Amino acid sequence: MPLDYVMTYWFDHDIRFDLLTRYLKPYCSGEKIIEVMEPVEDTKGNNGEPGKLVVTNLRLIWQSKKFPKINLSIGFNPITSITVKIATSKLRGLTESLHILARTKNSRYEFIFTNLVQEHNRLFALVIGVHRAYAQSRLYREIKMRSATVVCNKKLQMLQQEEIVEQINGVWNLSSDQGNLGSFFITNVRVVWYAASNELFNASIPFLQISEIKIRDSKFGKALVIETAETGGSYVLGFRIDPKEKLYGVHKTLLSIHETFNQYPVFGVDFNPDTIEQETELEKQHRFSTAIADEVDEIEDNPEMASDAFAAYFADGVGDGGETREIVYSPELGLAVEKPKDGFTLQSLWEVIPST
Amino acid sequence: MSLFTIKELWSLDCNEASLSFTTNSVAVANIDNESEEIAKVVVGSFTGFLRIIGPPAGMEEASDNRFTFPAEPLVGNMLAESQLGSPVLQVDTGKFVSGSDNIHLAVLHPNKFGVYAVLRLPGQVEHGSQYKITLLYEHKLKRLAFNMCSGPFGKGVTSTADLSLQSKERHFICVQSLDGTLSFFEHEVFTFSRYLPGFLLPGPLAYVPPWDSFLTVTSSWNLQCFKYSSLVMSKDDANVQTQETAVGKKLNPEWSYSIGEEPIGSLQVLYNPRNHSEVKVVVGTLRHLFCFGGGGDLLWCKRLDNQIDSFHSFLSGENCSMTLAASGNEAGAIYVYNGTTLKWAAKLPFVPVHLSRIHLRELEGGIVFLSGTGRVFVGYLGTEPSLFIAPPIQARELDYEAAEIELTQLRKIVAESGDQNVVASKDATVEVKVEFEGQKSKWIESNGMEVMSLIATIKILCHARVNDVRVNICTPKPIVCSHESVMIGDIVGRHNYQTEFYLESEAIPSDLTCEVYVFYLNDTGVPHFVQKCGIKVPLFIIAKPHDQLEREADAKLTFAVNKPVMNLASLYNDFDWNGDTNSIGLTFCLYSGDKVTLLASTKSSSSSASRYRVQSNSMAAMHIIFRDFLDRMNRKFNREKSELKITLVGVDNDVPLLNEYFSEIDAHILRRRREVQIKEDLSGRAAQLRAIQRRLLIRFRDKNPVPLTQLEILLDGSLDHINDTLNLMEENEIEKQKSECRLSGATRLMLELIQIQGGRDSSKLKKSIKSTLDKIRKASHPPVVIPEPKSQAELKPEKLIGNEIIERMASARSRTARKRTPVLAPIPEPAEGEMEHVTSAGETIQNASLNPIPEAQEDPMSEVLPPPEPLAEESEQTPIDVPPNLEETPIESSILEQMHEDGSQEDNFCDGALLKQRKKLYLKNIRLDAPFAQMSAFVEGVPSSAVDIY
Repeated sequence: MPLDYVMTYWFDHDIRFDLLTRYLKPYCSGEKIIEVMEPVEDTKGNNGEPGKLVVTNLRLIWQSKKFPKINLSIGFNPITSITVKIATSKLRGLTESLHILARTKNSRYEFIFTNLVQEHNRLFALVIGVHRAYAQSRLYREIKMRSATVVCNKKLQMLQQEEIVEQINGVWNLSSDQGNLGSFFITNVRVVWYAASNELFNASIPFLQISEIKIRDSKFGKALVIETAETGGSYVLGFRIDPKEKLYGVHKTLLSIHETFNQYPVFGVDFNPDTIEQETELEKQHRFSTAIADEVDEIEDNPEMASDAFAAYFADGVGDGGETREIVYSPELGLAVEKPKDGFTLQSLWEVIPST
Repeated sequence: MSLFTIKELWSLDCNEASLSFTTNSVAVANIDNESEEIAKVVVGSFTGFLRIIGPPAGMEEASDNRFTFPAEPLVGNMLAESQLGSPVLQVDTGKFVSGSDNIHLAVLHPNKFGVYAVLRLPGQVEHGSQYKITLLYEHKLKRLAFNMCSGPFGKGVTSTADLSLQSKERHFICVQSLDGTLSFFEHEVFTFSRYLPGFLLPGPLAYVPPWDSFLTVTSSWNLQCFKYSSLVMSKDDANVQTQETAVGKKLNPEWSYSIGEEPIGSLQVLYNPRNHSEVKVVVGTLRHLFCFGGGGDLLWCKRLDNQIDSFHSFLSGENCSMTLAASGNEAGAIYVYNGTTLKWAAKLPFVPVHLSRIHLRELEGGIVFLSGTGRVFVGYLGTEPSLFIAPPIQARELDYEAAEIELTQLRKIVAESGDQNVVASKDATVEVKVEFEGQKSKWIESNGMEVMSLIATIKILCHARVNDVRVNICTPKPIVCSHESVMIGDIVGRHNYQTEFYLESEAIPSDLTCEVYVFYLNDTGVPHFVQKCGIKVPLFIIAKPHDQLEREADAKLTFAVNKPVMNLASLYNDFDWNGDTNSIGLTFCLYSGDKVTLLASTKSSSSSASRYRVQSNSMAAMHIIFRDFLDRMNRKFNREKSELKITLVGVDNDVPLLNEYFSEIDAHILRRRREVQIKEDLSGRAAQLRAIQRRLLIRFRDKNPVPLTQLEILLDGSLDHINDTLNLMEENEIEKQKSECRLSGATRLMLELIQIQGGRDSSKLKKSIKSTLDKIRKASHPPVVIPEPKSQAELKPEKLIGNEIIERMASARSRTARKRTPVLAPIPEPAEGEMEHVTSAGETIQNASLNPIPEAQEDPMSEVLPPPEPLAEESEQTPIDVPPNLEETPIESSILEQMHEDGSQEDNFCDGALLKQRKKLYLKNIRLDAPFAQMSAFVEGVPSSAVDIY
C-alpha cells in the first residue's frame, strides 16, 4: 500500500489545525478544489483576521492571509450540521455567518466563517451544497451492508460516476455456516455482493475502504478474501467462486481495479458551482493553483499535528478521554443516568439549594 | 439552560431530507422476536424507507447489569433496510397475526397498510446475519389514511385477570382517515367503519385498553373519548358493512374535555398492565401538559415554561407518571417531570421530532430521539455538569507599529471624509468645462426685450462613478441662465448639457464672470463639489455695436498701456462693425441703453506705449468695457508672454471718478428711501381701506338699513390708491435693481482703479484718497455720509468713531429732525480728520457686513393686504431689530390719525439712525463686503498680502 495514499485518507475524516501547507494542498488526484473564497474570516478562532476559504470535494480549508501557518482543515465527514446564524465579526460587525458543528471521536467543534465580501454570500450556498453532495455520495466511500439502495430486482442501483466492469454469478458469501449463494457486481468504484434469495442481504464495499484483496484457504476451500481498512470497520469478507480459474480471474480483476483506483480515486462528490465572475477555465485553474499560500520556512518537526489551536473551536467539553463511567437506572427519574460521583445523588446535583 | 447534557450511547444517521419523519415514524420493540429481547428501533420515512436499527455490535457484549460509558459514541447497526415504495405514515408493533405470540410490524401508508414479519437468519459473524422483511397481509384503504392505533379492541382485558390469557391476546388495528372515518381491521378481516361526529380535521388517536375506548382530539381542541362498544353498537345491522359505508347512527362521545390548544405528538396512555384500575392519559400542547383519569377527570395540568416540540410519558415505580418533554427553544433541551414537578433538565444535541424510552437489555430507561432528518440517537442523562467555556482566543503578538500606521491612515480618511463643511474637492474625479459656442447665439425675447442669447455647453467628465450630481451656475445680475440648477443624478464618464445665457432686464451687469459648481457624492457617500470660477460671458450678449461714435460723456477714464496701440476693431472682432475698421474708437450700446465709447489715442502713440480712453454716462457700463478691454489685452499679450502695465492718465495720483461714484451711491440711496416711503404709504392706505371696510360692515350688519353715506366711493378710491401704490412700488423695484447693478459695477470699477492707482503701495493709496477727499470737501455738496452710531444693536461703531463725531451727528440729527432737511445730510464743517471718517466708515461697513443688517420688514398691514414682494436679498435676512423710529408708526389708528402720521414719517427718514441702517443695508445688498473690507484695510495700512484678492 503506497504511503501517500494512507496519508490522504484523513482529508475528509478528520479535523486538523495549523498544518504545514503541503498538507493543505490537494495532491491526491481525487481531491479537487471547487471554489476559493477570499477574504473570509474565521470568526470563531481568528476573529478579525481575513483569510481564504478553500472548498474542496472532501474538506474545507481556511488559511490566514497574514500567517499562512495558521490554518484549519475540516473534513466533511465529521460535520454534523451547517447553518446560517448571526455572529459578531470583528471585521464586519453583526452579520450572517456560516455556523458549522462537527464531531470527531472525542470532541465536538464549532466553526464560524464570515464572508467579508459584501456583494454576494455565495459562501453559505456553496459550503452547504458541497456538504450535501458529500453526504449524498456516501456509497462511494463507505461500506454498506443490508442496504435497500444497492440492489433492486437483481440490478445494481448505479451511482453517477459508476461503471460496471463485471457481473459474476455463483459467488458464495462465507459469513454463515452453510454460505449464501449470490452474485458479484464489480464496478470502478466498489464491489457489491447480494444474496440470490434475499436482495436485502447485500454488501457494498468501495475500493476506497479495501485494504487488501487476497486468496486464502478456508474450510470451504480456496476463498477470495476482502479485508477492509480500519475506517471501514476492519471487516474480513470471504467469498467462494467456482471454478478456481474463475476465482483467479476475479481476483486479478479486483487487484487491477484497486490499483487503478488508488491512483485515481473517485470520491463521488460532484458539485458544479455556478460561476458568477466572468472567468475563463485557465484563469480559474491558475487561481486555484495559487490558492494555498506557501510557507517559506517549513520546519518539519511535527508534521501530523503541530498545534493546540483546536481548543478555540471546542463546542463543549473535551471528551472524558476514555474514562468509563457506569450507567445506572435511576428509579427517581425512571431513566438511565450516568452514575453520579461518589457522595452525590441526583437530587443533590439537581437542587442547587437543597430542599429539606 | 442546564449544565447537564444528554450522553450518547449510539446513534445512526439516516441522512434524509428534513421533514421526512414525524412523531409516528418510530416504534421501539424486539421486532425480530429475538430470545435476548434486545429492543430495536423501527423507523419509517416519508420517502418510503423502512429501517430496523439495532444497537451496535459492541453493545451486546456488555456484561450483565453493567453498562459503561463507551469510550467513543458508537454507530448503530443497520439491521435491515427496505424500500417499500410508498410513504410510511406510521409504524406500530403488536401481535397482529392470528395464532402467533410474535410481535409483528404494522406499517401505514396513505392508501394501504401492511403487516410484516421480520426474521433474522444469524450468520457466523455479525455481518453475516441477514434479516428478511416479509409481508404477511395488507389492506388497501379506500380513504386516505392519517394515522392508526392498535390494541385488543373489544376483548376487554379487564374482565380476564388471567395473565396467560392476556399473553394470547390479539391486537387489532384502527385506521383514521383524513375524512374522519375510523376503519377497524381484525387481522386479515375488515370489520367496520365509523364516522366521527363533528369531524373537521384528524387529530391524534389512541386506544386505552382498560377502558376499551378510543381517544382523539378534535379540531375544536376537545379531547373526546369513544367507547369501542358504542362504536360497534351504532352501526346499522341491516347489510354487510363495507369500507365505503356512508350511513351510521349518531355517535356520541363518552366524555369530552376542552383543552383549548392544539395537541402535539401523540396521546400517551399510561397504565400498569397488571393493575388496570389506574389509567392516566397525558395530552401535550405547546404550552401545557394535561393528565386525565377515568371518566375524563383532569388529574393535573402543568403550564410549561418553554414551548415543547415533542414529549413522552411513562409510568415509573408505583403510579409515578413521568414525562419527558423536548423543547426546541435555545437549541434543544429536555425536561423530566414527575407529575408536575421538574426533576431534571439537560441539553440536547438537536431538536427531536420523536422521543421515547428504550430498554437496553436489563437496563431500563434509555431515551431514543429521532431528528427530522432521520438521526436516531440513543442516550442517557449525564450527571457530570459541563462547565466548559471555550478558552479565550490566544492573543497574538500585536504589531503596534502597523496598528499605529493604520490608525493614522484611518484618522486621515475620517478627517477627510467626516468633515461637515464641504470643501471644494482637490481630487480630479470630476472635471467641469464650460464652452461657449459663438455661432450658437440667437435673438430671443426676454421681458419684452430683444436680447442675444448664447448657448453654452457644460461638460462634465467623471473619472469614477459619482452619485447625485447637481450643477449650479451663478451668474451676475441681470444675466440669467436657463438652467441655473440641474439635477443630473448618478453619472460616470462624460455628461454634457446645454444652457442658455441671456439678459433678464435692462440693468447693467456689474460683471461678466460666472461660476459653476458641481456637487456630488462619491462612492462612500461623502459630499464633494468642484467649482469652476471666472468663466467670462462674452461681451456681445450684453452689448451691441453702435454705429456712431459718441464723443461726449459724463465720466471719462484715460489710461496708458505699455504696449503699442491696438486696432480696436480687430481687438473686438467678434462684433460686427459696420463702419470703418480702422476707426480710432468704438461705441458699444448696452441693452440698458447706456453707451460706452472706447477711444484709442492717435497722438503720442509709440511702439512702447499707447493711450486709451473709456467714456460713458454710466460707471457700471464703463466698468464692463474697461474690464473686458483689459481682459482682451491681457489675453492677447499673455500669448506674447509680456506683462501689461496700465497707468491712469491725468488724475495726478488721485482716485478718479470718485465724484461720479458718490452720485451713484446717492442714486441708489434715493431708491431705497423711495421704497420705504412707498411702503409706509401703502400701510397707511391699507389701514384706511380696512377702516372703511369695517365701517361698511357695521352698516351692512345693521338691522335697520341706513344710508352708506358715500363710503362705497371712499372704498373704491382707497382701493385705487393701493393699486397705484403697488404699481409705483413695482416700478421702483425695477429701478432699484438697476441702480443696485450700477452701483455694484461702479464699485468694482473704483476698486480696480484704486488697485491700478495705488498698486500695492498702501501709503500711496492713502495719499491719493486723502487728496481726493480734499477735493471733494471743497465741493459744495460732498456726498460722504458718516455713519451715525445710535442704535442699541450697534455698539461697535460707537467705540470706533470719535466722540466729537457723535456729538456732531447728534446735533445734526436734532437739526434735521427740526428742519426736515434732506436725507443726505451734508457734513457741516469738515474741519479735521477726514481720514478717520473714511477709516471709520470702512470699519463700520466691515462690521456691518459681518453682522446681519436689521431690516424693517414688519408691515402692520400685511395681514390685510398681500404684502409687497420683498427683495430677494432682504427676504434672506431675518429681521432682527426694527429701528425704533419705524416702530413708532401706530398700527391701529383711524384714518385721520394715519394721515397725520404720514406727515411725521418724513422726520423718521431724516433721522440719522435710520439713515445709517439704510446705508448699511444697501451696502450689504450690493455685496460689497469684501471690497470694502479691502478698501478699509488699504486705508489702515494693513500689509498688502492680506488683502490681495485680485
